[in-house]
Amino acid sequence: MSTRRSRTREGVPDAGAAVELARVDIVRSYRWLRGQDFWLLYGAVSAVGFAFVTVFAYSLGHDTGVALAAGETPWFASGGAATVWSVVWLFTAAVVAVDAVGSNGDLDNDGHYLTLRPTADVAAGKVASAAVKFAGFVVLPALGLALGLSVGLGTPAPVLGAFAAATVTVASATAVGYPVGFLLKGVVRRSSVLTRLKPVLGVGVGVAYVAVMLTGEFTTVVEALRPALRAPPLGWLGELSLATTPGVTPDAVGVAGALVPGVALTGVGVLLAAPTARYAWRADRTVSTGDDAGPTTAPDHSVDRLLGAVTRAPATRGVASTALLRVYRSPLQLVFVAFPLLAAIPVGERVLASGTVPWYAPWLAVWYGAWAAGAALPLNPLGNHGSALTSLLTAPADGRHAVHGYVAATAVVAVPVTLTVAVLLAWLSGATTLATASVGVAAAGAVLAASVLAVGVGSLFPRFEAVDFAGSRRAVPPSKVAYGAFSTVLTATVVSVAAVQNALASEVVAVLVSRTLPFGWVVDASSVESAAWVVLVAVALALPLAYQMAVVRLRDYRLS
Amino acid sequence: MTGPAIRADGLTKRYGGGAAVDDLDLDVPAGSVYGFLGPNGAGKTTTMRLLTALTDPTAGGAEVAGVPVTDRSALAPRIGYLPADPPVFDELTGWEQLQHVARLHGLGDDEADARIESLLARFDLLADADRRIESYSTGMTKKVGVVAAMLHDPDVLFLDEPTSGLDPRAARTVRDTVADLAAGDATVFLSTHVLPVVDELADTIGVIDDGVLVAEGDPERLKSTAREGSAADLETVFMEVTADVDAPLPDA
Repeated sequence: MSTRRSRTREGVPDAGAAVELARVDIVRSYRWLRGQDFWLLYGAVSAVGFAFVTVFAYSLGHDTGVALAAGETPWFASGGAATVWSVVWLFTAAVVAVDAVGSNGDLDNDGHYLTLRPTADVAAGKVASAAVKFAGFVVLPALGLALGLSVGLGTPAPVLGAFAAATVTVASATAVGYPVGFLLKGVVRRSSVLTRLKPVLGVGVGVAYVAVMLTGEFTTVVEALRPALRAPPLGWLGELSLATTPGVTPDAVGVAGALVPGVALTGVGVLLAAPTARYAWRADRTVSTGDDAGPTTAPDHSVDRLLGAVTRAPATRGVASTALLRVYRSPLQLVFVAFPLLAAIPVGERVLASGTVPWYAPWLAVWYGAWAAGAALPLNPLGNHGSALTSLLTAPADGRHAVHGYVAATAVVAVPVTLTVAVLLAWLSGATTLATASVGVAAAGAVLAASVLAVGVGSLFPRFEAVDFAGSRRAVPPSKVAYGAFSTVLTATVVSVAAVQNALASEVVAVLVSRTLPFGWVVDASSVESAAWVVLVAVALALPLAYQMAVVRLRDYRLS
Repeated sequence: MTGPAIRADGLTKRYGGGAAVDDLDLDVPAGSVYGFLGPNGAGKTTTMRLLTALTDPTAGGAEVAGVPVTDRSALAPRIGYLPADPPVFDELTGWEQLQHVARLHGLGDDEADARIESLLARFDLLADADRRIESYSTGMTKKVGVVAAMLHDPDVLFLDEPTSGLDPRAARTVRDTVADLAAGDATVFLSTHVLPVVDELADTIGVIDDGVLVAEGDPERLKSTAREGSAADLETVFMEVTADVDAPLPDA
């Protein structure tokens, strides 16, 4: 029977239990991260980004401090701070909500904690853990800002206000963001349509975010929202951040408005985390019942039929078909080749702005198509199999079948896509018919050559350790050595093809190389073209070697 | 097949300074079931990997189905292997996984599909064969692994814990299947911790401890020799031959 005490226990978290749950969650996250080289690299890149933000914040604070010391009223002290802190609060709340929708907002160990503690404790532990994890992204730039203000003004007083604003921001944004995330998770889990669309929506949000950030549209959005961002209650955070800064007259209503509602909002958010978590965790997930139309029959896929037409040996078809089905059903493997596409966004923006396609665009497409084709599958022919490697090694299928299978799988997808994009770009760039045809041939040839090269390099440097993604999803990337070696050789090859095929390309390469040479040495376009031929001959000789190496390696591979 | 199905002579595998398998001699007749027992970490999996050419011996040699284990391409068509963790791709359906394995063995699709359908029906898995393995229970995944190991009708089948995670009905199906295989020409090398399974099926039992074969014989003989001839079950035999020499026996 539900008593008042038990109802309170279900609704109000126990601080000690929540802190212990958060502590264990943070320790586990830290130990997990230590073993994840992919995420460590991502973290390092992000840290560099936040270091820039912190330096920028310091510079902003310093300029503001100097201006205030001179008796001026800089823009940051007259509303700019309110805009910045509002943006930081909204951004933090949004990121935390996404975190809650993801696997970090799930129950660990199949909900075992709920047999130990009330939902309120577990949910509060999640909120506290998220607050600690995301605090660094707010506190460090805030301290950079405060340090700049202090140096500019010659007093440490601004640190107190900035630290208070950062603390209120992290606590209240997390306490609001997590229940919102739980709510969204519950809604998605109850809807078969949203469950199906979740990956698409996730990719859409991610692409939109990256596009807004890289194209500079972020400032346009902030500009449009400025009146709302400066208005209370979010605008009060700016008042709090400068409350202890000499030269700024603190608005008592603003400071109190940031502190009191901020603390209250945090409390309400933590209390709301329990019912929203219950809504998310107790949802009966929608399950696709499938077409229960008739008896189970042998699988029949169009891609498998296509592979049956282009391969002879059943083992080759088996390797190719399985590789493609796995990538199609678990496309996380493609994450590892998606990053260079971010660099294409500015190029695309330039193309749209100018209305013309530069001459190098089709060659970029050839390079990326060949690189992605090689790196997505063939660059880790042993590691891709994971625990199923024993099936391959104890079967009569030999190295040739495995190599042919990976090349066939890559070719049926990557050749038509790369060829179409590259030829289209060449045509749009105004290339001659012959040059366009050359790009087409180069696209098909580069993808096939890259596949063979990748399977050779990858068989020498396999990687079996997976990278964890959301939930229990995992993917095995190629080893870093394989990535590096393959990328270097492929880049040299595509640049060489472009150099021997396009005079402008060889001149551009000559200029770029000359810039890097010491003692004022320079190279001319004809030297570049000669070197390019040497590279191409070397690659042509290396291809059969890579093929043979992969065949032998896959045939003779032994488990350690 | 004439001669022993499995013959090992001084088979040794060392990792660093320690021997995972030390000077192992085996002689397993064709058409028999060999029960391979041992504590965790005793060297059972390493022995299976050596006999299936998944790893190279440090010393000694072995032949399986008359083929040296150094010749993997000749050995592969003759053996089937089920590791303790079934080698499956979670993204595939049960049928797709088995079709993949069949193709690796060079079987044509028509022949393979007919055999797959028959084996799936036998293991009560046909209705779920078009579901992805990621949605399978542990036992269902194990069944897929068992079917995959015997799909190409091998001469010698290596099964590592084939009944773990299975419900009683599925475990009975596996035991019946092993018995049927052995009744034909096939040889089964069976590693398990479920002693009643070995007791029921094995013609010969070998017990490995710290990489050394410490006892071998038919089940009845092993039981009768345990504890100075006193009546014993297989568990007593296992406890006795794998006991630390300085530690007292459980019932001492």
